[in-house]
Amino acid sequence: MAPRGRKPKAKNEQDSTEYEKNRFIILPNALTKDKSTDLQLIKLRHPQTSELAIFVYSEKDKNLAQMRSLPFSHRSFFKGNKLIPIDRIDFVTLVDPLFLFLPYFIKCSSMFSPLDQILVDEHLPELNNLLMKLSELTNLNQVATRKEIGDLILWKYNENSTLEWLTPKIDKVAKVLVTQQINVNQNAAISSSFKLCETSIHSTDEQYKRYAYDIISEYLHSDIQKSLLKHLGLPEIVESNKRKADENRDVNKKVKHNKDEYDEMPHKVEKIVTPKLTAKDKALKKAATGTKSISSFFKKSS
Amino acid sequence: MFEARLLKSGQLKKILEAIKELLKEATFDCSDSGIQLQAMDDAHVSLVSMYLKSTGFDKFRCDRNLSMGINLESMVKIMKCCSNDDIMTIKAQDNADTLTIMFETSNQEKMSDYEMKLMNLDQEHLGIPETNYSCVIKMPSTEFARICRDLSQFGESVIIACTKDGVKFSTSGDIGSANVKLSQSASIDKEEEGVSIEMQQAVCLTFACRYLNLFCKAAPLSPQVILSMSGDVPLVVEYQIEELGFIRYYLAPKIEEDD
Repeated sequence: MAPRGRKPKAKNEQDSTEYEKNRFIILPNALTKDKSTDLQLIKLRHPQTSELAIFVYSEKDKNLAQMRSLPFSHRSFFKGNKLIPIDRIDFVTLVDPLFLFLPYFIKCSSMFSPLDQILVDEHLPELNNLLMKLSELTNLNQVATRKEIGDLILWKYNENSTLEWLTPKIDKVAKVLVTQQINVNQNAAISSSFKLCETSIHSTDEQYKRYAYDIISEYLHSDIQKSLLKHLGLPEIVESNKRKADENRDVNKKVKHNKDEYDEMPHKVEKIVTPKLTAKDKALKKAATGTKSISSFFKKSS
Repeated sequence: MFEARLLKSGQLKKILEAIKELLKEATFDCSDSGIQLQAMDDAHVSLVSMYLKSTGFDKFRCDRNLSMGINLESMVKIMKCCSNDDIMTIKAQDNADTLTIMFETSNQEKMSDYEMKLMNLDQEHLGIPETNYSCVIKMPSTEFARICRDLSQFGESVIIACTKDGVKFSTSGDIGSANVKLSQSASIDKEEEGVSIEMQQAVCLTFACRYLNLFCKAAPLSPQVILSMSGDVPLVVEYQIEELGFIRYYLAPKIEEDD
């Protein structure tokens, strides 16, 4: 799997009009080395959302790649003297099929089962064959325990080995983030006109690790995400969602702003608020019960 | 410009001690006739009214009427820095946000000054109507304090009944009941040492004992206390401050005993 943000050398291919007009597809080298490659688009369940997503599969090269689409309207590029419009860019990145299998393995994690009973999609049986085919590309030992009984080979999901398998991936991604100097601060913004001054980059290892974790988690079910976070020793932060954090930020800003306005008011001296009630105050309050307010006897004088 | 010089700072110290537990903060209204304070406690059950007339001060100057919001706790802290017979001077500019309090020893050897931040308090002034009270009881302030203290051990509220025989304070609680009856003194050498009762009509009212106890903190200000009562109006507990003014506490009666 290629990490997000690292673009393989682009090679354009005009897709057939079957999907959408003017798609611009960026393919990794591994899929374009051989001109006679048998690329086919297949639909599989996305491991995180279990919705159907498009993958690119090459049976001959034993490659599986994921396709990420980005609407990219009102853009175009030149090819020779020709102007070619772009409506959509598709990034194709290699994916380890193991990620796709994880949800199936977790589903049958209660007992050892033969593979053809694990990689079964109840709702879309047509995927079963494909999944079995894909399973040949991977090393299932990385996520499951193998058991041989006679000529039967049984598998059972193993969380520990899964986490062991995922950890180096995160370290690898984190390393790339560091070498590419990708700003992993929570309020990072992408700008083509401004470059981050190097001195202002002061992300910690933990931040890089967390960012890498966020990237990998996009392929993981929420249960594994949690255990992975624990395994990595990263403290759990409620907001894994950047937008949420930004919202909070806005609220804080607002409060601050209001405070400023408040300060600008022509106050003589700020009233000191003492909300705490001592035991004496409470006793006095209690003593006051059953007594009419004094202001009901004396009228307010203007 | 406001400036008031008081020969005995102990008097103001006692005044603050007498009101600080009822009020946390209060507005001192200064005019050329003197300093006035009127405020209700947090529960709006009692009202403190204080008046210090300008002639009671050694020197008094108030060019423009001035309202100073004062945190009484802070002021008490400052007043603790002086001894009772120090001469004190209070100063504030018109529209000032601070109050300066200066102390000097009578031999002028030590001078100290303190500056206190003022507060913006929005307090409503209540008009207190002139009332002819059915009963006016004058008694030694220490005696009244003693009775309130004693009775507060028994119950939370005190019934004050004034008849032509005398005045009866009574209460009851978990451990039992208590009654204290005072009769008019037959012969008295000094007016403030005796009990005198002026009565037009018998009155019987119930009050929260804890509040009466707080009013009694003013006992050091005056040897005599004047209790004025009428049916269904607040009790007035008045202490005259010699040559300086008075401090009056108003306390609304309790409506029903079984609360």
